Amino acid sequence: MKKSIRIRISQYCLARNLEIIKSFGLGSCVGLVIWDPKKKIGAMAHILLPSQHNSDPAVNSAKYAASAVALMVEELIKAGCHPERLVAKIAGGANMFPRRFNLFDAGPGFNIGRRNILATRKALAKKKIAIAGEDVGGERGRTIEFNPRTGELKIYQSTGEVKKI
Amino acid sequence: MTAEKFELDRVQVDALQELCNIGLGHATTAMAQMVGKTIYFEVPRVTKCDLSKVPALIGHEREIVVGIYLRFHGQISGNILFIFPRESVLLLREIITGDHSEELVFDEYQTSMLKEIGNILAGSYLSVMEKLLGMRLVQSVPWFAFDLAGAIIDPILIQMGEDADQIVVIEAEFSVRGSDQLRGKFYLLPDPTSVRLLLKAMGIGA
Repeated sequence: MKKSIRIRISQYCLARNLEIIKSFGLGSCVGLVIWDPKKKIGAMAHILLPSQHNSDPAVNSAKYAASAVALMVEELIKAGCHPERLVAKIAGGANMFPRRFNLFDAGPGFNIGRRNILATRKALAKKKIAIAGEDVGGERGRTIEFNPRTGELKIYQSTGEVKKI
Repeated sequence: MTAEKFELDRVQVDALQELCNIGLGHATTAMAQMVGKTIYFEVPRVTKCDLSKVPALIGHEREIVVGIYLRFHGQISGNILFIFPRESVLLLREIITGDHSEELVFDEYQTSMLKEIGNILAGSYLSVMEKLLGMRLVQSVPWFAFDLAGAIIDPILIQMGEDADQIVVIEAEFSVRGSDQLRGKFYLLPDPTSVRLLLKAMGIGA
Protein backbone atom coordinates (compact mmCIF):
# COMPACT_ATOMS: atom_id res chain seq x y z
CA MET A 1 0.00 0.00 0.00
CA LYS A 2 1.38 3.36 -1.00
CA LYS A 3 1.49 5.97 1.68
CA SER A 4 0.47 9.36 0.46
CA ILE A 5 1.87 12.50 2.05
CA ARG A 6 0.25 15.82 1.42
CA ILE A 7 1.99 19.15 1.62
CA ARG A 8 0.47 22.60 1.89
CA ILE A 9 1.73 26.07 1.02
CA SER A 10 5.12 26.84 2.59
CA GLN A 11 5.71 23.22 3.55
CA TYR A 12 8.20 20.63 2.37
CA CYS A 13 8.59 16.94 3.00
CA LEU A 14 10.89 13.99 2.27
CA ALA A 15 9.64 10.72 0.83
CA ARG A 16 11.13 7.33 0.04
CA ASN A 17 10.17 3.76 -0.86
CA LEU A 18 6.45 3.40 -1.28
CA GLU A 19 5.57 6.89 -0.18
CA ILE A 20 4.26 9.47 -2.60
CA ILE A 21 3.99 13.21 -2.05
CA LYS A 22 1.14 15.34 -3.35
CA SER A 23 0.39 19.00 -3.47
CA PHE A 24 -3.01 20.29 -4.54
CA GLY A 25 -4.01 23.45 -6.32
CA LEU A 26 -0.75 25.02 -7.41
CA GLY A 27 -1.57 28.30 -9.07
CA SER A 28 1.15 30.89 -9.09
CA CYS A 29 3.01 28.91 -6.46
CA VAL A 30 5.83 26.60 -7.53
CA GLY A 31 6.03 22.91 -6.71
CA LEU A 32 9.65 21.84 -6.46
CA VAL A 33 10.96 18.28 -6.32
CA ILE A 34 14.57 17.36 -5.59
CA TRP A 35 15.49 13.72 -6.04
CA ASP A 36 18.42 11.34 -5.63
CA PRO A 37 17.97 8.65 -8.34
CA LYS A 38 20.34 6.18 -6.64
CA LYS A 39 18.94 6.42 -3.12
CA LYS A 40 15.42 6.86 -4.47
CA ILE A 41 14.71 9.53 -1.92
CA GLY A 42 13.04 12.76 -2.90
CA ALA A 43 11.66 15.91 -1.36
CA MET A 44 8.86 18.22 -2.44
CA ALA A 45 8.19 21.83 -1.49
CA HIS A 46 5.23 24.15 -2.15
CA ILE A 47 6.88 27.53 -2.62
CA LEU A 48 4.86 30.72 -2.19
CA LEU A 49 7.30 33.54 -2.81
CA PRO A 50 10.62 34.19 -4.56
CA SER A 51 12.47 35.73 -1.65
CA GLN A 52 12.11 37.01 1.81
CA HIS A 53 10.96 40.57 2.29
CA ASN A 54 9.65 41.25 5.69
CA SER A 55 8.08 38.09 7.05
CA ASP A 56 9.28 36.51 10.23
CA PRO A 57 12.47 34.68 9.29
CA ALA A 58 12.01 32.04 11.98
CA VAL A 59 8.97 30.40 10.46
CA ASN A 60 8.00 28.75 7.20
CA SER A 61 11.32 28.59 5.47
CA ALA A 62 9.92 26.55 2.58
CA LYS A 63 7.81 29.62 1.86
CA TYR A 64 10.66 31.10 -0.20
CA ALA A 65 12.46 29.59 -3.17
CA ALA A 66 16.01 30.02 -1.89
CA SER A 67 15.42 28.82 1.64
CA ALA A 68 13.28 25.91 0.43
CA VAL A 69 16.09 24.64 -1.80
CA ALA A 70 18.64 25.00 1.00
CA LEU A 71 16.43 23.19 3.50
CA MET A 72 15.57 20.36 1.14
CA VAL A 73 19.18 19.74 0.14
CA GLU A 74 20.24 19.72 3.77
CA GLU A 75 17.58 17.18 4.69
CA LEU A 76 18.33 14.98 1.68
CA ILE A 77 22.03 14.89 2.56
CA LYS A 78 21.13 14.02 6.15
CA ALA A 79 19.07 11.14 4.75
CA GLY A 80 22.15 9.84 2.96
CA CYS A 81 21.77 11.40 -0.49
CA HIS A 82 24.78 12.68 -2.38
CA PRO A 83 24.66 16.36 -3.39
CA GLU A 84 26.13 15.63 -6.82
CA ARG A 85 23.43 13.12 -7.70
CA LEU A 86 20.53 15.45 -6.95
CA VAL A 87 18.22 16.48 -9.78
CA ALA A 88 15.19 18.75 -9.69
CA LYS A 89 11.79 19.03 -11.33
CA ILE A 90 9.53 22.04 -11.12
CA ALA A 91 5.86 22.70 -11.87
CA GLY A 92 3.47 25.60 -11.37
CA GLY A 93 4.01 29.34 -11.57
CA ALA A 94 0.91 29.99 -13.63
CA ASN A 95 -0.63 33.40 -14.17
CA MET A 96 -4.08 32.82 -12.67
CA PHE A 97 -5.59 36.19 -13.50
CA PRO A 98 -4.16 37.07 -16.87
CA ARG A 99 -4.67 40.50 -18.42
CA ARG A 100 -3.76 43.44 -16.28
CA PHE A 101 -3.64 41.45 -13.09
CA ASN A 102 -2.44 44.21 -10.90
CA LEU A 103 -3.68 47.59 -11.94
CA PHE A 104 -2.95 49.57 -8.81
CA ASP A 105 0.23 48.10 -7.43
CA ALA A 106 3.10 49.47 -9.36
CA GLY A 107 6.06 47.23 -9.97
CA PRO A 108 7.88 46.08 -13.05
CA GLY A 109 6.54 43.01 -14.83
CA PHE A 110 4.02 42.08 -12.23
CA ASN A 111 3.76 38.39 -12.86
CA ILE A 112 4.16 36.54 -9.60
CA GLY A 113 4.11 33.09 -11.12
CA ARG A 114 7.00 33.94 -13.39
CA ARG A 115 8.95 35.52 -10.52
CA ASN A 116 8.56 32.30 -8.55
CA ILE A 117 9.80 30.17 -11.46
CA LEU A 118 12.86 32.34 -12.02
CA ALA A 119 13.72 32.44 -8.32
CA THR A 120 13.44 28.65 -8.05
CA ARG A 121 15.68 28.12 -11.10
CA LYS A 122 18.20 30.55 -9.68
CA ALA A 123 18.22 28.88 -6.26
CA LEU A 124 18.78 25.48 -7.89
CA ALA A 125 21.60 26.80 -10.06
CA LYS A 126 23.28 28.22 -7.00
CA LYS A 127 23.32 24.73 -5.45
CA LYS A 128 24.41 23.26 -8.82
CA ILE A 129 21.31 21.10 -9.13
CA ALA A 130 20.24 20.33 -12.70
CA ILE A 131 16.59 20.67 -13.71
CA ALA A 132 15.46 17.37 -15.21
CA GLY A 133 11.97 18.49 -16.11
CA GLU A 134 9.64 21.46 -16.02
CA ASP A 135 5.97 22.14 -16.51
CA VAL A 136 5.68 25.80 -15.69
CA GLY A 137 3.81 28.95 -16.63
CA GLY A 138 0.55 29.05 -18.53
CA GLU A 139 -2.74 30.17 -17.11
CA ARG A 140 -4.07 27.04 -15.42
CA GLY A 141 -3.74 25.49 -11.97
CA ARG A 142 -2.05 22.16 -11.34
CA THR A 143 -2.06 19.34 -8.81
CA ILE A 144 1.20 17.40 -8.57
CA GLU A 145 2.19 13.97 -7.36
CA PHE A 146 5.74 12.68 -6.94
CA ASN A 147 6.91 9.08 -6.73
CA PRO A 148 10.44 8.83 -5.29
CA ARG A 149 10.84 5.24 -6.49
CA THR A 150 10.62 6.18 -10.15
CA GLY A 151 11.38 9.89 -9.91
CA GLU A 152 8.23 10.59 -11.86
CA LEU A 153 6.36 13.82 -11.31
CA LYS A 154 2.76 13.55 -12.41
CA ILE A 155 0.99 16.80 -13.20
CA TYR A 156 -2.80 16.97 -13.25
CA GLN A 157 -3.77 20.16 -14.99
CA SER A 158 -7.09 21.71 -14.06
CA THR A 159 -8.16 21.19 -17.66
CA GLY A 160 -8.07 17.42 -17.04
CA GLU A 161 -4.84 16.91 -18.93
CA VAL A 162 -2.23 14.70 -17.22
CA LYS A 163 1.48 15.12 -17.84
CA LYS A 164 4.46 13.13 -16.62
CA ILE A 165 7.95 14.56 -16.33
CA MET B 1 10.18 45.86 8.76
CA THR B 2 8.85 42.80 10.51
CA ALA B 3 5.58 41.04 10.01
CA GLU B 4 2.73 42.65 11.86
CA LYS B 5 1.56 40.55 14.76
CA PHE B 6 -1.92 40.81 16.16
CA GLU B 7 -4.58 38.79 17.88
CA LEU B 8 -8.30 39.33 17.42
CA ASP B 9 -10.42 39.48 20.53
CA ARG B 10 -14.11 38.65 20.74
CA VAL B 11 -15.26 42.25 20.33
CA GLN B 12 -13.13 42.71 17.21
CA VAL B 13 -14.36 39.46 15.66
CA ASP B 14 -17.96 40.53 16.33
CA ALA B 15 -17.36 43.94 14.80
CA LEU B 16 -15.78 42.51 11.65
CA GLN B 17 -18.66 40.06 11.39
CA GLU B 18 -21.18 42.85 11.70
CA LEU B 19 -19.38 44.97 9.13
CA CYS B 20 -19.56 42.05 6.71
CA ASN B 21 -23.19 41.44 7.62
CA ILE B 22 -24.26 44.96 6.72
CA GLY B 23 -22.13 45.07 3.59
CA LEU B 24 -23.41 41.75 2.33
CA GLY B 25 -26.97 42.78 3.08
CA HIS B 26 -26.58 45.53 0.50
CA ALA B 27 -24.62 43.40 -1.94
CA THR B 28 -27.15 40.57 -1.93
CA THR B 29 -29.98 43.05 -2.40
CA ALA B 30 -28.21 44.22 -5.52
CA MET B 31 -27.83 40.63 -6.68
CA ALA B 32 -31.49 39.86 -5.89
CA GLN B 33 -32.50 42.70 -8.22
CA MET B 34 -30.32 41.25 -10.97
CA VAL B 35 -31.59 37.68 -10.78
CA GLY B 36 -35.13 38.45 -9.61
CA LYS B 37 -34.89 36.06 -6.67
CA THR B 38 -34.44 36.50 -2.95
CA ILE B 39 -30.89 35.93 -1.85
CA TYR B 40 -30.00 34.76 1.62
CA PHE B 41 -26.64 34.76 3.26
CA GLU B 42 -25.27 32.99 6.26
CA VAL B 43 -23.74 34.64 9.28
CA PRO B 44 -20.23 35.67 8.22
CA ARG B 45 -17.29 33.86 9.72
CA VAL B 46 -14.16 35.68 10.78
CA THR B 47 -11.03 33.56 10.94
CA LYS B 48 -7.45 34.46 11.57
CA CYS B 49 -5.34 31.66 10.24
CA ASP B 50 -2.11 30.55 8.71
CA LEU B 51 -1.72 31.25 4.99
CA SER B 52 -1.37 27.54 4.27
CA LYS B 53 -4.83 26.82 5.68
CA VAL B 54 -6.64 29.33 3.46
CA PRO B 55 -7.04 27.11 0.33
CA ALA B 56 -8.98 24.60 2.44
CA LEU B 57 -11.36 27.39 3.50
CA ILE B 58 -12.01 28.40 -0.11
CA GLY B 59 -13.06 25.06 -1.48
CA HIS B 60 -12.44 21.40 -2.09
CA GLU B 61 -8.99 20.67 -3.47
CA ARG B 62 -10.33 18.97 -6.58
CA GLU B 63 -13.22 21.29 -7.24
CA ILE B 64 -13.05 23.59 -10.22
CA VAL B 65 -14.84 26.84 -9.56
CA VAL B 66 -15.32 30.32 -10.95
CA GLY B 67 -13.54 33.06 -9.07
CA ILE B 68 -14.10 36.79 -9.47
CA TYR B 69 -11.43 38.81 -7.81
CA LEU B 70 -11.08 42.52 -7.05
CA ARG B 71 -8.71 44.63 -5.05
CA PHE B 72 -9.65 47.76 -3.16
CA HIS B 73 -7.44 50.63 -2.11
CA GLY B 74 -7.69 53.75 -0.01
CA GLN B 75 -6.90 54.29 3.64
CA ILE B 76 -7.16 50.54 3.90
CA SER B 77 -6.58 47.98 1.18
CA GLY B 78 -7.50 44.40 0.63
CA ASN B 79 -8.99 41.71 -1.56
CA ILE B 80 -12.53 40.66 -2.39
CA LEU B 81 -13.14 37.24 -3.90
CA PHE B 82 -16.36 35.61 -5.04
CA ILE B 83 -16.38 31.87 -5.62
CA PHE B 84 -19.20 30.22 -7.56
CA PRO B 85 -19.50 26.46 -8.03
CA ARG B 86 -19.95 25.15 -11.56
CA GLU B 87 -23.73 24.51 -11.34
CA SER B 88 -24.36 27.95 -9.93
CA VAL B 89 -22.52 29.59 -12.79
CA LEU B 90 -24.61 27.66 -15.31
CA LEU B 91 -27.76 28.81 -13.57
CA LEU B 92 -26.58 32.38 -13.19
CA ARG B 93 -25.75 32.49 -16.87
CA GLU B 94 -29.15 31.06 -17.73
CA ILE B 95 -30.99 33.62 -15.62
CA ILE B 96 -29.09 36.58 -16.98
CA THR B 97 -28.47 35.67 -20.62
CA GLY B 98 -31.12 33.02 -21.26
CA ASP B 99 -28.44 30.59 -22.44
CA HIS B 100 -29.56 27.05 -21.53
CA SER B 101 -26.49 25.14 -22.67
CA GLU B 102 -24.73 22.84 -20.25
CA GLU B 103 -21.39 23.65 -21.73
CA LEU B 104 -19.10 25.51 -19.42
CA VAL B 105 -16.89 27.39 -21.79
CA PHE B 106 -16.48 31.04 -21.11
CA ASP B 107 -16.34 33.38 -24.03
CA GLU B 108 -15.59 37.06 -23.76
CA TYR B 109 -19.25 37.95 -23.27
CA GLN B 110 -19.89 35.46 -20.48
CA THR B 111 -16.66 36.23 -18.69
CA SER B 112 -17.53 39.86 -18.83
CA MET B 113 -21.03 39.20 -17.49
CA LEU B 114 -19.65 37.30 -14.49
CA LYS B 115 -17.05 39.96 -13.87
CA GLU B 116 -19.77 42.58 -13.91
CA ILE B 117 -21.74 40.65 -11.28
CA GLY B 118 -18.61 40.65 -9.12
CA ASN B 119 -18.19 44.34 -9.80
CA ILE B 120 -21.72 45.22 -8.70
CA LEU B 121 -21.56 43.02 -5.60
CA ALA B 122 -18.18 44.36 -4.54
CA GLY B 123 -19.23 47.92 -5.32
CA SER B 124 -22.30 47.78 -3.12
CA TYR B 125 -20.32 46.07 -0.39
CA LEU B 126 -17.55 48.65 -0.47
CA SER B 127 -19.95 51.60 -0.52
CA VAL B 128 -21.34 50.35 2.79
CA MET B 129 -17.84 49.99 4.17
CA GLU B 130 -17.05 53.54 3.06
CA LYS B 131 -20.07 54.89 4.91
CA LEU B 132 -19.48 52.90 8.08
CA LEU B 133 -15.77 53.55 8.24
CA GLY B 134 -15.85 57.09 6.93
CA MET B 135 -13.21 56.56 4.30
CA ARG B 136 -12.89 56.58 0.53
CA LEU B 137 -12.19 53.25 -1.10
CA VAL B 138 -11.39 52.63 -4.76
CA GLN B 139 -11.99 49.27 -6.35
CA SER B 140 -9.96 47.70 -9.13
CA VAL B 141 -11.38 46.18 -12.27
CA PRO B 142 -12.61 42.63 -11.65
CA TRP B 143 -10.55 39.62 -12.74
CA PHE B 144 -11.88 36.26 -13.73
CA ALA B 145 -10.56 32.72 -13.30
CA PHE B 146 -12.08 29.29 -13.83
CA ASP B 147 -9.86 26.82 -12.06
CA LEU B 148 -9.05 24.85 -8.91
CA ALA B 149 -10.09 26.84 -5.84
CA GLY B 150 -6.61 26.49 -4.37
CA ALA B 151 -4.97 27.78 -7.53
CA ILE B 152 -7.28 30.80 -7.77
CA ILE B 153 -6.42 31.97 -4.26
CA ASP B 154 -2.68 31.56 -4.90
CA PRO B 155 -1.86 34.99 -6.35
CA ILE B 156 -3.85 36.64 -3.55
CA LEU B 157 -1.98 34.70 -0.87
CA ILE B 158 1.32 35.50 -2.56
CA GLN B 159 0.61 39.23 -2.32
CA MET B 160 -0.43 38.94 1.31
CA GLY B 161 2.36 36.50 2.16
CA GLU B 162 4.92 39.21 1.57
CA ASP B 163 3.81 40.91 4.77
CA ALA B 164 2.57 38.12 7.00
CA ASP B 165 2.18 34.42 7.67
CA GLN B 166 -1.17 34.82 9.38
CA ILE B 167 -4.09 36.53 7.71
CA VAL B 168 -7.67 37.48 8.49
CA VAL B 169 -10.38 35.88 6.37
CA ILE B 170 -13.96 37.11 6.50
CA GLU B 171 -16.27 34.75 4.63
CA ALA B 172 -19.96 34.22 4.07
CA GLU B 173 -22.01 31.92 1.90
CA PHE B 174 -25.04 33.17 0.02
CA SER B 175 -27.77 31.32 -1.84
CA VAL B 176 -31.17 31.63 -3.41
CA ARG B 177 -33.87 30.73 -0.94
CA GLY B 178 -35.12 27.18 -1.15
CA SER B 179 -32.55 26.13 -3.69
CA ASP B 180 -29.07 24.84 -3.33
CA GLN B 181 -28.42 25.43 -6.99
CA LEU B 182 -27.54 29.06 -7.00
CA ARG B 183 -25.02 29.73 -4.31
CA GLY B 184 -21.70 31.38 -3.92
CA LYS B 185 -19.15 32.43 -1.38
CA PHE B 186 -17.90 35.85 -0.50
CA TYR B 187 -14.43 36.48 0.90
CA LEU B 188 -12.95 39.65 2.25
CA LEU B 189 -9.24 39.46 2.91
CA PRO B 190 -7.89 42.74 4.26
CA ASP B 191 -4.20 43.25 3.58
CA PRO B 192 -2.15 42.31 6.67
CA THR B 193 -0.99 45.90 7.00
CA SER B 194 -4.61 47.16 6.96
CA VAL B 195 -6.14 45.02 9.69
CA ARG B 196 -5.06 47.34 12.47
CA LEU B 197 -6.30 50.40 10.55
CA LEU B 198 -9.60 48.71 9.85
CA LEU B 199 -10.14 47.94 13.53
CA LYS B 200 -9.10 51.47 14.45
CA ALA B 201 -11.61 52.95 12.00
CA MET B 202 -14.30 50.89 13.72
CA GLY B 203 -13.20 52.33 17.05
CA ILE B 204 -11.94 49.06 18.48
CA GLY B 205 -8.28 49.24 17.55
CA ALA B 206 -5.69 47.79 19.88
